[in-house]
Amino acid sequence: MEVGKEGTKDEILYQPILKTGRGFYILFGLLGLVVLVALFAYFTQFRYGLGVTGLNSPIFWGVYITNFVFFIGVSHAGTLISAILRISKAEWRRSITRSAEVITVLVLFFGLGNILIDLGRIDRVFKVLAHGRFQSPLLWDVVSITTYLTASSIYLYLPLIPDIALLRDKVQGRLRKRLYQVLALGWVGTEKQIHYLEKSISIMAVTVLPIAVSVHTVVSYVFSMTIQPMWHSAIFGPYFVAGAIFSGIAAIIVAMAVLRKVYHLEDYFREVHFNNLGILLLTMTCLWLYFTFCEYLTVFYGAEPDEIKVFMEKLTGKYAPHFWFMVLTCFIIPFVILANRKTRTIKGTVIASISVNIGMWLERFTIVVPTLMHPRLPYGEASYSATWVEWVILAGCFALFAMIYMIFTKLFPIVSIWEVQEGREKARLEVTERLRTYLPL
Amino acid sequence: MNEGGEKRMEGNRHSREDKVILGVQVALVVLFYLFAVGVFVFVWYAFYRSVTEGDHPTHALILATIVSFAFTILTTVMTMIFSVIIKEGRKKLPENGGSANEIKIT
Repeated sequence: MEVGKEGTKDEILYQPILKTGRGFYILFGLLGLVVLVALFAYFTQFRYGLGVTGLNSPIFWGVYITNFVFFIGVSHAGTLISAILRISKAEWRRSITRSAEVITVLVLFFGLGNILIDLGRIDRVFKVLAHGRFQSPLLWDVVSITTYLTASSIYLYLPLIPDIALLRDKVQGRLRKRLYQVLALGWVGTEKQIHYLEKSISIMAVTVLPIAVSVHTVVSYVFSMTIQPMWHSAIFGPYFVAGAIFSGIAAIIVAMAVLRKVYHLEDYFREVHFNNLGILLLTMTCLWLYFTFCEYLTVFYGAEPDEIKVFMEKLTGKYAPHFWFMVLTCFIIPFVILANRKTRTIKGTVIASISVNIGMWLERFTIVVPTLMHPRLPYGEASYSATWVEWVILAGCFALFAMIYMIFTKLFPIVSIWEVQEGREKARLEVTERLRTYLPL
Repeated sequence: MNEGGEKRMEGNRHSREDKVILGVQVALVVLFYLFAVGVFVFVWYAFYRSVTEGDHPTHALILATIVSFAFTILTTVMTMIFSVIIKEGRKKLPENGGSANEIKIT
């Protein structure tokens, strides 16, 4: 293997870690300001209580729970997709898995964070730990998300080890060198280390799949295990999992496009990656429409009075703009762009992905709020409008996510260097083998 | 100070730093074990409460078993990775003549 030559090729992957431009600090500062305003909003809520939000009786859940379901959904971006591509030995995965796995670990924190914000008084979380009952799907959520977060963190860390070792040997700064020395675990790339690392990554890829599927199924159970209209549905589990993979793929595409542009990674995030992920997104668009159609048609034909109230609220009532905008952004826009080879370009795929992410947030919102407007219990007329506190906290979540993602790209390579090098070597060997075995020389 | 003395001092410094790094790595594994123990205690304490309170212990038993199984796999992977990679790495410390990174980028 021409080690030196390979190294020079991938030199650009070190650039974000070794050099930081002015643009980074400016953007970081702006995002920091948004986070500060969000912190102010949170302290306002902490001081005056949940009364400063639009939440009321019986609409106890709003933007925060929508965020929770949305972020947990996006978390399927990395681990699930990366694990599927790894298990199916999709070679084109090599440069995209890291950026996706980071999304998973980060957004899980934001999913959990929104639950804590929704609690109002954060000390209430100890009641769950001390008095939680396993009959409650809320506790299933606590344990499944904890397991998923742990598994995803390990799954992100394992393929990072060889890259951290490369950085340990390259970086000069004392503090950074110590950090990499600790995290590299003394990796020197011996045969035994490689063997055990690959074995562990394979075990984790297989382990993380059922955990990831269970997580979003359990999130759906928070709704479907109640007898509330339009929540008590048997297809909610697969519907939520499909929606999660859908928004996850869209999130990866957006992240890849940003990284490609900012860090000049055109050689690593190529047209083929966007095209392949675009096809996956197109498949999920169709699957999402199918699930949505099944769900709504069943409710309409059943015509159960309480269910129809919620159904009509979504299709023609107060939440009709949200619902139809969701249909536009989750199906019409992505389908029109992605079904046509000519428009399935990098730009087209990114537009479709942004549209899907907006649509999937709205989908979560239209699942949570309209049902609570018309519960089976005899509450009076109610409506919900999110206040500035909720919107600012939502903006703060996205800003903080972007800031932490930016910090990650400054500490670790956002493309797995050793996996890219291994992929090159493997491709060469495969071609040589093909020539040797069945092609005329 | 002669050259041999300087080399010895340098060697001692490296060895000290190496011990500190190993200490932090071991502390990381211990922290993970503590977290895993916390999860085991949480799920089995919930099961214990459900038994003592006659509160559908079967639910709790099934869930506690699944979570324990998942965390056993995760703990095994972490133990395997930390023990093998650290042990192998220490055999090939650069100061002992080993390569700093066999797939080093130049």
